[in-house]
Amino acid sequence: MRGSLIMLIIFLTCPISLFYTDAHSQEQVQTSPQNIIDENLTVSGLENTTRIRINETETTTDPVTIGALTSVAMNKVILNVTQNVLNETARILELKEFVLRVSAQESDDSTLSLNFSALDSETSSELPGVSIDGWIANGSGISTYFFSGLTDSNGRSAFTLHTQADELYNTTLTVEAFLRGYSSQKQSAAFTLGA
Amino acid sequence: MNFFIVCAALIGGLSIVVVNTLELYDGHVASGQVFFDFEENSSNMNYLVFDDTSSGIRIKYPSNWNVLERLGNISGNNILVDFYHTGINGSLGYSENANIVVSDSHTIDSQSLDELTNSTIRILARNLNNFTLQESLPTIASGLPAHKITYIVAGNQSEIKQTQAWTVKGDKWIVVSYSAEPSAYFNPRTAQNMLDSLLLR
Repeated sequence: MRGSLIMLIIFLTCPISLFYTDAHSQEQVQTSPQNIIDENLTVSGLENTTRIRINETETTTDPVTIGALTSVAMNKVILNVTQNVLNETARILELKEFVLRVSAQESDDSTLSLNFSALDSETSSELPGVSIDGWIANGSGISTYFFSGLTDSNGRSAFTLHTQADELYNTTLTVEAFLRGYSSQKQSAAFTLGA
Repeated sequence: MNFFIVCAALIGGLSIVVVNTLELYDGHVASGQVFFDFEENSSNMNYLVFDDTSSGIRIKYPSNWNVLERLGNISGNNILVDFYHTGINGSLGYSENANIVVSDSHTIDSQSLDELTNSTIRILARNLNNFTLQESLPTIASGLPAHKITYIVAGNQSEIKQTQAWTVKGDKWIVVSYSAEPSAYFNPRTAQNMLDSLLLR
């Protein structure tokens, strides 16, 4: 933020055209945070006009006026940046839900395949980049197998565990899944394989 | 009997204190470099010191504010520093900032501080939207005669409240500005503390 402020302030104060944008322009200045850069472009465009105004009235460049207009401009920059932070925070807090489905397939009594699919609960669109962490615990609560990974562009992720059938009897599969902007999921299900 | 003696002594002592105080007040000349340093416990906030050796300006600012130095020079007006605070209150943002502008290119010998003040306020009213002057009074800054104004102007979405104080030292015109937007976040104590801490060497 400091870096962006420095750039903005240097840009704003040198031509002081933002001052005159605030002071003279009757147009509503864009206030959305993503338009800060656009404002800078506007500032550059008004530079010539501003210089003419300065030349017309030398007294308007007294330090009191400069100080006043600098404060106004700084407020504007600070509020734009602050609003940007607030918007970003709000966006993150608007958590959505996703559905994580898993299918388990045992083969040859020695391999367990776990296939996950992640979908947006509202749109049913496939969600890539879902972080999946899981483990399998036996009946005594001891975790014996662990796996982790991300869903691919199709919202899918597959894990293959080399197991023994008798180890999977009466075991519990627990999965935690995370995706930025979505509520985290932690699901567990007991299952018996090889029976 | 003793009670009356004690009372008389107290009244006499009090009279001497009052008379001496009045004499001190009458004899006060704001030409010296008197640095009034407020105590740390005079405010809930802690303050840090900004000291610029090249300009000889020292001022205190709230410790949770940030500092931008050397913002530029506009027609001989050097924006020495801006202190700013990004506040978030619930889902709304507010801003406080203060800056120091030093002018060394203006001919100010021919103008008294009063003339300077009157013309300055006229210029501000002309250049700021919906300028409403709330206060204008002489004050002391770093032991020098100064003037302070407080006013409200229209911002983009809300009112902005600002206080500015200026003084002249040698051929330099030093202006301290404090601003808050929205105006409800204007903190007069912060503004006064900063102004009181100003030291011009």
